[in-house]
Amino acid sequence: MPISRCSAVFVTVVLTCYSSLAFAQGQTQTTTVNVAAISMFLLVIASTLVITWWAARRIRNRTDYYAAGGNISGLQNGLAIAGDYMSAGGFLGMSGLVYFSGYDGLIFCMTSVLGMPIILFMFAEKLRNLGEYTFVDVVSFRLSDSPVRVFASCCSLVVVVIYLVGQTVGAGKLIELLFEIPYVYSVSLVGLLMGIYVVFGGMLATTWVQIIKAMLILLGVTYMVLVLLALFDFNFETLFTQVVEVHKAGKSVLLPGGYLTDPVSTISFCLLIFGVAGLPHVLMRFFTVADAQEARKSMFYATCFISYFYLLTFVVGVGAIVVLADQAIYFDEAGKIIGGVNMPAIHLAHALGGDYFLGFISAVAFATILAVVAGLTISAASAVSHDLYANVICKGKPSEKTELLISRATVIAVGVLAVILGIVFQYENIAFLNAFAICIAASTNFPLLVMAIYWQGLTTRGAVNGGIISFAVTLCLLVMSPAVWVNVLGYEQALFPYRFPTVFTLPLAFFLIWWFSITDKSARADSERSAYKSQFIRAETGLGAQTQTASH
Amino acid sequence: MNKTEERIWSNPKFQNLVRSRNRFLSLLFALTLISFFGFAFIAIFAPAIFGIPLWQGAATPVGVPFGVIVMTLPCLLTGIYMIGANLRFDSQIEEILRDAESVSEE
Repeated sequence: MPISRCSAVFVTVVLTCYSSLAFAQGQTQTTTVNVAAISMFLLVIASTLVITWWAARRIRNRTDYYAAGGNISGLQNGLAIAGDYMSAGGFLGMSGLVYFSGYDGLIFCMTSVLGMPIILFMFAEKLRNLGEYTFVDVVSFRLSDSPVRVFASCCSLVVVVIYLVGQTVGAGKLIELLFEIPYVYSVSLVGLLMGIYVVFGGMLATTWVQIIKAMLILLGVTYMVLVLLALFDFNFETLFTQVVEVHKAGKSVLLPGGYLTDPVSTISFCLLIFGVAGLPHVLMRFFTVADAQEARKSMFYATCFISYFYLLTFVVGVGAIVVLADQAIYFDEAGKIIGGVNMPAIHLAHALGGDYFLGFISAVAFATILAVVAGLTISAASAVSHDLYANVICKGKPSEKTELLISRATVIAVGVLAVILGIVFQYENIAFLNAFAICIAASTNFPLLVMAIYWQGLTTRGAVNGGIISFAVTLCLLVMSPAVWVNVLGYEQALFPYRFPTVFTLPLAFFLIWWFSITDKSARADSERSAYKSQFIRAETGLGAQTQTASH
Repeated sequence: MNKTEERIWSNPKFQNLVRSRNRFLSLLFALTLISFFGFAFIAIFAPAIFGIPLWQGAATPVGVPFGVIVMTLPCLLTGIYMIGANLRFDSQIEEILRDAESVSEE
């Protein structure tokens, strides 16, 4: 891509930031715009654009664009996968949750951590051996291409877009708060930057932005926890003693409370780990490494990073309870924390390290959002261009040029859609959106993938009919759940009483896929069943997978 | 199935590999689920256990180290699988593929 265009875009972005900042300053005289924060923020944007420029010059073909050339190492991919889960919601949202509800926050973090071994033990190596660019490749490996791909990629798109809207709304709010840029500008800025990364830099830029951000956030949180623990002489007992004294819930702040109340919601909640294992933008990362061995390594590293990160996030949230308690500047007249539920970590950064550290953490939070939305966008783009266009419309024989063009056009469309939806939903409580995406992934993507890899009897009819019905049921139950029916639509009583429907929909999906498969007596079904053996051999040994990569 | 695949399928080493790897994976998978579901069910049916002080008069309840263990266990389990697979399965797979190819060249 031309360097001049890249730098022109960069200048525009910077100017937009400055002008909107100046605009915000003019409106509210009392705010002191944090110079350190803005310079860190610009540094982050500049370095990600340099990465994009570097990546754009290296992209020559499909594999480079969708899978970073298959050259990412296990450690790098582990960092990138961890980065996908260390989102702004993961850091600011979870530390905020710990700040307000204590131990429940830790329980919520567990779903992300426990999803990792599930991915490794069930999918990682087999996914690498069977697929090329997306998890849909694996589902349609021996099934009739068109119907399965259309359904599975639409499923991917729905999950990704829901997840994306959750991120952009959060991002817009965060930037609005941190830098006092008006909401519409900040959402558009996120959309624009994400578009630049993915259109020009593809998976290569997306992965490197994610890796760098993951290192920055791990570094930042480590420093924060060290400074924090120094206040308590590195003694957890001292910390917890003060937490129990300060928090209004007293001793029960360190005990489980709201999420795990009855067996049905508890099982539903626990089953979310299978949704964490079915997110398309994460599964896509296994195609960026060379072979099954690297895929396995990347999951080990990812697990360690995520586990470490969420443990520190818990300490950050708990520490914020004590440190912020006697500092009036972080609360408004009503005694509420300034900026809302996601801000305790940001205030803690300021309390511990002043303006510079606040600036650093804010910039990292911003980078986090950009990296995660970029990953989501490339997975949406590959669903459209690789699964729908190349394999369904062109029957697997597209021209590489057109396919990449369609992919880039999709990126722009998804970016515009995300910005528009972000503006539409700006006043809604969107905290439930991430959990919704994970719920749908647990009730459709996950069962489809498990059956495709492990069950010989799966047929196209089973995958498509079973998948569509369970997808529809999940969607209906989510709409009827309290989060939407009561909080968004404003009805008094939810039609479906539980927060998550997974305890019903996950078994239902398995049952339907099984039922529609065994009742399928067509000749096509027979040939699909008999093709399982060679799929099995390839999944176990990687036979054929290496030669395919080498031929690119 | 083509000839190479037939040869792999009928190779007892392959059947052996699949069996031992599946056993290993199922064990680790079961441990993952037991730790998480076990944790959650103790939390709803016997929450009092979580509230026991870590030692006499401590503010830290046992629930905290308990949670930390559940959060770090996945590192251990994935690490065990990675080391085990690197040591045992990779060389076996290579051997199986070599066997199949060497015959097909003859």
